[in-house]
Amino acid sequence: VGSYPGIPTISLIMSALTFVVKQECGTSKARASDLTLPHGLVPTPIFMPVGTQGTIKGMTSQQIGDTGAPIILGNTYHLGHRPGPDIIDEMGGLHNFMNWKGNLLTDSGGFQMVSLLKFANITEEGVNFTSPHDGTSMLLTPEMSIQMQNKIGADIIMALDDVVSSTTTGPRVEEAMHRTLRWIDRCIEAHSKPDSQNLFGIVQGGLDPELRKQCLKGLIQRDLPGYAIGGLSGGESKNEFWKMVSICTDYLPKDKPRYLMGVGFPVDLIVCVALGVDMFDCVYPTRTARFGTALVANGQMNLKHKKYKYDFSPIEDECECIVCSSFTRAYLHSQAKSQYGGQLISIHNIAYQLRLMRTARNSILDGKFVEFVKEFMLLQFPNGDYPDWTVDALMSVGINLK
Amino acid sequence: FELNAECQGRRGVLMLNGVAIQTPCLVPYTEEGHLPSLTPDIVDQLKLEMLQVSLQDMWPNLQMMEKYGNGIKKLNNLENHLYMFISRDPLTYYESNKNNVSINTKGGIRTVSSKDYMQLARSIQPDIITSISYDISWVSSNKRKRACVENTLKWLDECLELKQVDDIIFGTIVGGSGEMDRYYSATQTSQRNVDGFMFGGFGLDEEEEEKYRIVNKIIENIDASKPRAITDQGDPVCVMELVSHGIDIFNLTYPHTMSCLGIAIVFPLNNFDTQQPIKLDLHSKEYQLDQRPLVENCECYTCKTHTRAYIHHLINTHEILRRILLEIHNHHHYNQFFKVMQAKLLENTFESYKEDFISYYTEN
Repeated sequence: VGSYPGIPTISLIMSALTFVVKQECGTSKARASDLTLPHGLVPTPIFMPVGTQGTIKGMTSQQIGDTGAPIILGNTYHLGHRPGPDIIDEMGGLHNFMNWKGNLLTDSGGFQMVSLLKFANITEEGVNFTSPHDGTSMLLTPEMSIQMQNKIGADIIMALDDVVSSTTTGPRVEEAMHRTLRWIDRCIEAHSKPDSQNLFGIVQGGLDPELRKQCLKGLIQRDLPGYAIGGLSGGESKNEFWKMVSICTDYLPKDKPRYLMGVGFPVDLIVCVALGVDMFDCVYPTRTARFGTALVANGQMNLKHKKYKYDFSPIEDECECIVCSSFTRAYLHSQAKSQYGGQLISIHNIAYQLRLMRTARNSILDGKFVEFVKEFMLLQFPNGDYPDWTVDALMSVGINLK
Repeated sequence: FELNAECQGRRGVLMLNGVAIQTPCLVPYTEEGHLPSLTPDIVDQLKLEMLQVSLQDMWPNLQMMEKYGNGIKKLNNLENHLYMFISRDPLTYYESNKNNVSINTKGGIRTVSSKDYMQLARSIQPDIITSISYDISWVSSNKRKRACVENTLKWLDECLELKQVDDIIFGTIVGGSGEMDRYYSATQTSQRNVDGFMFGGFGLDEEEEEKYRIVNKIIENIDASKPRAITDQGDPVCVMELVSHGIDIFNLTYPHTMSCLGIAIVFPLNNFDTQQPIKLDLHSKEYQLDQRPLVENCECYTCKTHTRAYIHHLINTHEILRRILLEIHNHHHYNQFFKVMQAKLLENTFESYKEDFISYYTEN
């Protein structure tokens, strides 16, 4: 299993990154690498907080920097509406506009195809959206997506792909996979800043292994700086989810970064690191914070629960974030339903996800990743009642939870 | 409390529990003792000296505060700040309920006695306790004004009975628009063993003229050597007038309210040029491409880091960060305003400063 022998890879595109695998786990497909982007070093595996509209909800740029996050996301669809690409361009790009000195990644705007599907009509030309804000029509073509992303100026930009929901079946899935390959060429053609922005292709193909392999083959031929695994983290079963991730990491070149889009929960992160993924993004930590839930080593802590009313310990002793060093669960309980509480818990949750990835990375570097995974899973499922999919997925890469 | 200058307005130094703060000073509105939307790492940069903590916010937390035992400062991780415990929250209104005060907490309507109030104060461990009172309109009947004065005095005595040796208690002076009521409240309160005075019942429906007239009435009848606090909304002209009249401690909502409205406070603190606006409404599209900070050379985090265009975008998209950035700037700016007034008072140039400011303000 590996890349395709006999198929020449022609460098069609410049790369504005370097990616060096420092250590591989001897057993699983996990690896610890150094990804260097124009705005600095990103040690992987890495979790990328999501700042949809040019801000991470409730946190200042300084606070994000203080958590140590080396890269965050912006959303092209939203920023394309407000403030719009021309304004961002005049401001000197999103880095300047939001005064973020670390790295940025923008998605193509394509995911909204799936999430706002009733407003979208997909043709070969592109995606026609009807805006839920004001009913106006907007056409998003691969060229337009790349042009917008060029103006936004993120260090990593995503190709516009024809995304289908993972619960879709039938010929539409194949159509979307082939179109994704045609669109990647249009994206490459339209990309005007390959020297400073890295275009990642996105592997589609739904839940069909053969379609996935075809898509992989096509994308790998384009020799892009990095690759994302798309079309998952939707409504599919976890059992199908991990298998598709694994097929992709089997075929994607080892010497390039792999980004699994829209994942996720801590358990998902660790399993997918074992499956060979390097980069993740998800709104989950900040969103769940705004509902009063903190992420902790053994799962979730619903701080709205009355059992925390007089609990004067921090969320987690071992956490070094400003919230855990200054506030008690009792206090957060009293704030859990307010915006302020959401802000505080967001800071903790982002710090938690980053620390989780850092710990995973260090364990790979120390040759102790397998032990780390077992310890982590036992903390999350102290009765050993691991979900079947995690057992299967980890077993497939040589980690036996039982 | 040491007065360093007394002309029109007073310049002083207030020592509380070993900490010296300069007066007139700004005591901003808080929610449960923290500045709205601002985490402690941010508040520490603002160099505010004293914060409000209110009955209504803290009442539901009484049991937790008692079990916690470490007081409001440590609770909020704002240990570098002094706290003034006030009964009446400047953004809400209390009524009386027979012998007690009726407040509207996040858990529902509650009735609080002076004894309850002191119990809560004990758990909060503030630096100043103002005695418990409630609100009446400035067009209340004489009967209601009188009742408010009498209740408040009774509760002041009850608070003082529960006073412990290190407590600093300010007597609250009430009476709405009634000159006789205010006179009575002031003289009676002055006779008690209070450490200062809270001018109560302002920032409601008073006319401008009667506000200052009543403030004068109170001042004429209290011990001049003790500090005077007021709770009010606190727009800049009102603040300057109250400084002129001799108020020392200002518990204000103005910077917070402006932030909630998407307004940045930007009036110049010196060299009043009518070309400079007082406030900016960042909803306006005119800021879409404006790469300037809110105020040139402002040292706050917002102005050192971000542009008007970015803040406009955040307001347009209803992002939480819009609140954070505006609260930071507005509190910083208003605090600087107080520092400039402190300097002018010491130099004895406050009156002409006030006149210049008011003519700039009215022209704008």
